[in-house]
Amino acid sequence: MHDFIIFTIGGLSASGIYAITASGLTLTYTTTGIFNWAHGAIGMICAFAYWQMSIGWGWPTVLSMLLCLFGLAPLIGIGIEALAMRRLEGVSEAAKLVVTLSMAIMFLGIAQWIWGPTTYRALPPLFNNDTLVLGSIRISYDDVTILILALVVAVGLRLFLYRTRMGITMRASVDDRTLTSLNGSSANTNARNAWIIGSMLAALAGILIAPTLSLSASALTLLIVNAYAASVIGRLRSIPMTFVGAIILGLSIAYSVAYLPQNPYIQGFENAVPAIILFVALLVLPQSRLRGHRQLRSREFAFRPTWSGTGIFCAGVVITGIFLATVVSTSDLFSLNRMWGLAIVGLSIIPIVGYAGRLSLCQLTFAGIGASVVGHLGAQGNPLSLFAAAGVCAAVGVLVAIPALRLSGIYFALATAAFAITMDNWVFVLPTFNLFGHPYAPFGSGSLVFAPFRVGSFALTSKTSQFIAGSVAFAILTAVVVAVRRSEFGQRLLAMKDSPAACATLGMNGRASMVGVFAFSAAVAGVGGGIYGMALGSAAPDVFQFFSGLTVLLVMVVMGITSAGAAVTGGLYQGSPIFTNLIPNLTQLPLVLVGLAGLGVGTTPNGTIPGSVRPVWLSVLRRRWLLGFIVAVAAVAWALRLAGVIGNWTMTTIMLVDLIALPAPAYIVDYRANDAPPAFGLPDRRSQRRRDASPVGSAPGGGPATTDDQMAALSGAGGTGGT
Amino acid sequence: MGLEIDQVSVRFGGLAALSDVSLSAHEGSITGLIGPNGAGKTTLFNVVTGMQRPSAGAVRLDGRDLRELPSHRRARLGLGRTFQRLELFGTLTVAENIGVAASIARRGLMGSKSREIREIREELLERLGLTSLAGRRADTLPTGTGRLVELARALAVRPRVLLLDEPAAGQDTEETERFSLVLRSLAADGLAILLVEHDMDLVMRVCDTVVVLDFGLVICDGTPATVQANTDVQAAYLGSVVADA
Amino acid sequence: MPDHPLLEFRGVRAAYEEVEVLHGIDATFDEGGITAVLGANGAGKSTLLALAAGIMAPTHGEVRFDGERIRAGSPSTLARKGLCLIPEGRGVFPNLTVGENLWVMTHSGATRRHVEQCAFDRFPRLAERRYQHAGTLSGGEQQMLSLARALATSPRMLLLDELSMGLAPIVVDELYKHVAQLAAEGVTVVVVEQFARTALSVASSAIVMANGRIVQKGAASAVEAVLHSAYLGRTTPQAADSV
Repeated sequence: MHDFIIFTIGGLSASGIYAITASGLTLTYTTTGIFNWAHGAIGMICAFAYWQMSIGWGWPTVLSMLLCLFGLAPLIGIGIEALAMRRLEGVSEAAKLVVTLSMAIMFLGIAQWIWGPTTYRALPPLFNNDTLVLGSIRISYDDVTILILALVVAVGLRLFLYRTRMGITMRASVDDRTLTSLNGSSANTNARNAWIIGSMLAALAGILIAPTLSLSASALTLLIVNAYAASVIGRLRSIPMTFVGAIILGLSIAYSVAYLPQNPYIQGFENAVPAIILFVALLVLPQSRLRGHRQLRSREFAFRPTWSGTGIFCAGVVITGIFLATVVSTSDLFSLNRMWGLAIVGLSIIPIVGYAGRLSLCQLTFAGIGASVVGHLGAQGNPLSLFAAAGVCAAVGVLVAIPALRLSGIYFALATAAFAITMDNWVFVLPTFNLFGHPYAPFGSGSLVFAPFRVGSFALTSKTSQFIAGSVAFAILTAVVVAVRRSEFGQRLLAMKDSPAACATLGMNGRASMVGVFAFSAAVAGVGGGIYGMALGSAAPDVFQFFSGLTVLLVMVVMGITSAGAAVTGGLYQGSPIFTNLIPNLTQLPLVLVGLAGLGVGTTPNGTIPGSVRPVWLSVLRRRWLLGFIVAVAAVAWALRLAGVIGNWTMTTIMLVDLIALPAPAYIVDYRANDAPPAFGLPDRRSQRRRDASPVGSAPGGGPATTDDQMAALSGAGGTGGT
Repeated sequence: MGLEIDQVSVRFGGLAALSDVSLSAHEGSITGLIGPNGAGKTTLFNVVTGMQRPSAGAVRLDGRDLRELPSHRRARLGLGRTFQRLELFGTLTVAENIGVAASIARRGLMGSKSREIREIREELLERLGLTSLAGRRADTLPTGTGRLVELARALAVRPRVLLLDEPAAGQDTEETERFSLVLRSLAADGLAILLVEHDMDLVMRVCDTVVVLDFGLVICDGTPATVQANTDVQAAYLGSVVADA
Repeated sequence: MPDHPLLEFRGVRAAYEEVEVLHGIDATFDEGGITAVLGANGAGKSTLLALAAGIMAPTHGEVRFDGERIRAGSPSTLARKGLCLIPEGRGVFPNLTVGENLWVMTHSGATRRHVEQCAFDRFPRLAERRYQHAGTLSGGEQQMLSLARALATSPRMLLLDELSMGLAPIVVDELYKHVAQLAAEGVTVVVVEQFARTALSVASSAIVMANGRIVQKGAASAVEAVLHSAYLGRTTPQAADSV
């Protein structure tokens, strides 16, 4: 009984912290409709700043805390609202997720940049481990403080939301944002207040929990999962229910640590408890209650790829593969070799997210499953193990999809996240167990070794051959994905995304299609995982971690969620050694850069490739002579490099000029003639012509991302649409 | 034979959206359903297509009770509809919109019936005058044209009963004229059509019978001429003069 | 009397995505009186109001309120300048109590007490429902609440979109009496209304729209003469000639 009380108090103290952070999350979500993946990261930055002030610079504890809570945190909130959130009306859930995700990644990069992760930092408890003694029970003053603060937050939020005009206006904007602004309260002000309060609560939680987590940037950022579990139990609306959720969560974690048997099979399970609670809460709570903000019509479009274009693209991919394999140094190729596996994982995102509009956050997890299958079955280098990986991943995909597809929008995304984290923390790290009569450990004892693929006597032992084979595999899978998009199945997916109501009244039951596309995407990811594993030679489960998978998704959304080129870019970005070669001292810079790129998603919702690259190259394709010239220049540069006449840097410069400077004038000419789709956020000049002339067979092109579009989306949501 | 709506009621909380509504749509005839905004017309369509559960009453298609069937099963039994607020597949082209619908109804093994689907698509594009727009993305169409695409899409599954929710809104006079001919020819092919429409000229011209809803109640039904002359209908449509304003 | 109209549309075109729904609107609304905007569904009436309230931006032309050009995306600024739109069928915050609904309007210095006083004097029924959630009020009471809230800051112009939607005739009648009263007190009112006869009986002037264009403007009585044909079709014997 004594132990039970001790564990309960510990659990409640943790609950207090979860409640504080989760109520901040719920508040920003209900008022702004944005699911803030950076919530944990904000708390993390503030905890580090607090460490810097109080320990690093030796400032008084109370002053440091006040500066963090009432100075830094509100500034972060204001910054987020002003810089990132204003343009997000009418963009898809994927784009919204990517923006906050970018912030999380950027904050993580900044924190690791300033406070290098190799140095050990710790925050002492607030009260020097002093304890309050009640009979035989000793409670630390820190725990007491946390519980009191949680109560203060609960009461304070209640008073704020029900007894101040600002709070009431925020609640009003949950009911109807347009109506709130029609009543003279600016939507921006409301959102800013929500972000300020959310950031302050995140900061408070971060500072309170930091002493127990020894100030690890990634652990603090991942607190978001616990916060989500509590918020989902609070149905993302109710602050009191969020507190109940936090208590359930804190106690479950405490009791599972205390009372579950101590063995290596269970250890991982304890780490996965928050994710499992999140998953169960999502599935158990009735669907109708989990209704968030109405999904607005999003501004994205899915380009319909042609076979000729796909052929050119795939040929280009393989040629680029051969090209890189011949010019890059062996050590760099070792690093670059990872790109095709990751690119295929990026490709696997296209059908499920791009076509079906379902936000899956567990594609890299499927890659991990695929890698495990290939590592075990393909120990002799049998490439057929890739098919087995695809099959197993498809089967697991079906099992996940059947319960999860009941959920829509962001809830589906959360369910896939919970699945991914459970796999990371528990399944992937399981020691050997018996699977269908065979001993099996998903990643062996720590990491799994991969044999190079071989067919007969031919084996992909050299990095060069592996790299080229990777490019061929990517090209083939690109063709498969394009075939899916062009098939009736692909059209049905887009139809489901555009209008589920119309699909139902046409006699289509979307469930089978959705399960199918989820399984298909999982299979593609599984193949990618196998190829990734082979490229790495040996892989530990942390390669397939949830957050790394989010980075893949992030690059996809930034570059264009339906474009295979985005997948190549993503692979190149994560596999390429260029950053480490150019700026070896700033290893965090790429994280910050990709974060910055993600913040801009609101302005180019279709992604960089469809929005900027494709229009420019359409102008090149119209001029065959220009295309020929560009190809010729590239070929000559390559030949000169192979002949040893020029070095890599000269060749790279020539190529960059060739590929960027030459197409640009062609595009400018076309754009001036009102004859090119808009790029780089330029206004669409073709619309003038289109309105008057008969618009027969015009090229696919979305409207420009202008304020007008946003306003149309806004007023559509306001029900004032006149059509 | 056709569609039979039998004493359907729908309550939202304390509010009666439909009370004991009965009407039927017969093969080869066009039934107009009119009434002021908020009278319950779209709610009735939602009940018929299974998107709204009625609190009482039954919907029968060719004598078969549809009560427990979800929307997509009703559609496969031959019930088609269009929407007041366009529900086009915006990212697909006009031709793909129709093709997808046709393929749902005739799903063969790996597109073995693709020729049949193509034929249906070409025929419908032709019939509704959309051939020149076949390659155009659906969300770039003006509303009036979008409604034609929705109609074509609904026809691609070869329904026997068609519910049209304000199909002429957003069309100009000439388009409406052409549209009324299309409706008549569809009826001549044996379809039962239930038409919700605010363009009274169109309703009066093409409908065989007209039913008037007001506050969820059928206040009048009969031929277009009797409905037009009915004073209750005039009051329902035009409102009444505000006393001593 | 200033030399410019209170609300003015100059060559306004508007589009949702790439689909144009208003094709060149020129209209002026002078200070005082009630103007009825009539027309079929999809004629563009609500879009007209959305433009005036700054929810939506025109693709061509401009909208001016009190001589100043309206910037899109600024409904809150316009509301503070005295232009108030009650949108179709949803003028209240259903999860807030009646009191809280009124409280939202206490920007620009009005106290909570003052706002409630104004509202409860005009609509005594709301005082009884002060602690009730607005979503639980009857349709008529909800519209009273939205009117009361709009009036709390003494607006110069009130735009009402389908005030009567889904309400019984007797309730509509009562609401329009209030509207007429407001106009008599000097508020300029624009009503978009499906019940044309009801709207015209309180309005001084009227605009009829069809397919994104204004097809008729004039005194309310002149428009009323051709009502039946516009709404119930022209084939009927007793109807007047076409519009």
